[in-house]
Amino acid sequence: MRRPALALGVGAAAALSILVALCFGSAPMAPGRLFAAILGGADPVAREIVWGLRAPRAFAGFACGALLAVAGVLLQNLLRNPLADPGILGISGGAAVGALAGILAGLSGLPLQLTAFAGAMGAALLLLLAAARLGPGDVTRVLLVGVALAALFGAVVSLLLSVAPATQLQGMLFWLLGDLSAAVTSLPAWLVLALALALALALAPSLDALQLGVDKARSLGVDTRRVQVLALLAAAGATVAAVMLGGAIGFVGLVVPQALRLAGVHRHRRLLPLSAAAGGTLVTLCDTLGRSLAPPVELPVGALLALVGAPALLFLLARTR
Amino acid sequence: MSAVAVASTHAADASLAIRGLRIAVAGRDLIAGLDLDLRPGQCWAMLGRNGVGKTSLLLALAALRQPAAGRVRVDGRELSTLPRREVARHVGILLQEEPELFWGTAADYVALGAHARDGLAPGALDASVRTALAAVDLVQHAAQSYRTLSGGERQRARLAQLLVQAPRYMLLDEPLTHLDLRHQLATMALLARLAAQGHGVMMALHEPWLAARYCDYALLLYDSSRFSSGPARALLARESLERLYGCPLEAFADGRAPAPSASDRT
Repeated sequence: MRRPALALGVGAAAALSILVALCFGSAPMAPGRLFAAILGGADPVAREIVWGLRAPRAFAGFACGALLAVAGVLLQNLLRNPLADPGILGISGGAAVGALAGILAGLSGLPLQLTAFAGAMGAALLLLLAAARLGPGDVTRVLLVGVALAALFGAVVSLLLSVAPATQLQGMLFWLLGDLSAAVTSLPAWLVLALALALALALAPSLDALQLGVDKARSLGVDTRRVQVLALLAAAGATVAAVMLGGAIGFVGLVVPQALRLAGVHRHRRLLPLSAAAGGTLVTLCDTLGRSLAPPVELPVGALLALVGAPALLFLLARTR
Repeated sequence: MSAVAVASTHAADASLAIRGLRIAVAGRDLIAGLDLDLRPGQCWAMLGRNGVGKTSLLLALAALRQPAAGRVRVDGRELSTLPRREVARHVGILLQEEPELFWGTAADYVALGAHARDGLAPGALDASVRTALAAVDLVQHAAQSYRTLSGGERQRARLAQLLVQAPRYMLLDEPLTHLDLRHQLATMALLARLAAQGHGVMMALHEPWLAARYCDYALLLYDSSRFSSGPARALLARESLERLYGCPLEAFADGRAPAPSASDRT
């Protein structure tokens, strides 16, 4: 696809996804009332549904998907592995352990968010320490450290689930599946997104060169240690912010950058913003679907994402070389 | 090749110089006590058995590995103290093949060579990429996805990337890997031409007959502490090569470049 066409398409889809999220939900509305509410008119109830409930949820979903996709781009580059994804490094797992322990301790609301945050940051810090200790060239071992952490956290999650009383299981399960219903304000996440994207874009030419391997990138003039540490920091921050919003939403970080690469986007200057927009679009649409399909039940966005995303990736893989 | 510019001012003492270089891998000395000057205008071939330390030496010369002892200076300045971008403007290296994760076209791949060339206008970069692709006979593959290139085509794309980088000193680790005979000869001619244009060229090579024909100087690594260096044709004689590789050789018909003896070919 031509370059401007792809960028325009992704941008239009992003805007459309927000609009769709405003239009659909568990409470059906007549088109006239809906559009009046979107434009700020109509009755207070309709306005509250559209701008008080659906809009924050849409923006939270978008930020979450954008953060995960940006983290995916960075991690795939750093670990030189197209299968790398925020979930694989144990950051989501750390957050899950924190959240489940919090739920088990009877926490909710902000204190629960804080325990999840502590878990995610703990995992991210362990990973950064491992990266600093192992050195810049040893990406395989950093990857393995992440995989080991993820397995460890997975085991702890299983233990927490098995000792938790039945009344708490529902909340825990939704947390593990990836769920945006607890997302209240996404402003901090948008700030993190802006920071992570700005940092990553500043590193974009170096990230391009890093695709050729650490030695080659260094020989081309890249300060690889600095770039790797900063990019890992951006990826960890983005993952933590995403996990705080939506729990363990998987697959976005894996499938979005990969789909764009298959569509011919490879320079990080374009890949990063387009991934952010496409990731945000995907999560927003899937979450809207989850809210609207079987009201009042909300289907977890993580499960829907895999349902939509996996066949999409298979289709792309089959079509392209 | 004229558009692949060399840094125009050559200091009188311009060289990539190593003194007392010691390279240790896993606690074992690979190279100990090597002195060498690679000067602009020279084309060097480095020969030696597998594992003798050719790659390690090239990596140390490119400041990609820290030597255990000794110093590497580029045009009089300590290489290890220079920022990466500065090093990249002086020294470039064609590495042995390694797994790459690159999704762009061959031209995109080649253009990455310009990373350290500040202030290069897009038009100038495109021209530089086109010239480099032409020099390695890849023009017809410019728009092809790099991943779908053959092994030899990728090797030539790596060389073109080095041409776009255009460092004064060019190090090449087995530049003929995967190349067919025609492109082996063309590559050797290109490297000799680059040296004639003022680059300092050093390559690790396993083809003594090509080294004797295209290179001015040779460095033979016998083992960790025994080296010989000098004019290529004089050095690449039958007896030194037999000693170097530890196998009997016979002379080619032109009497200059040795080849494996008939008894070894069966």
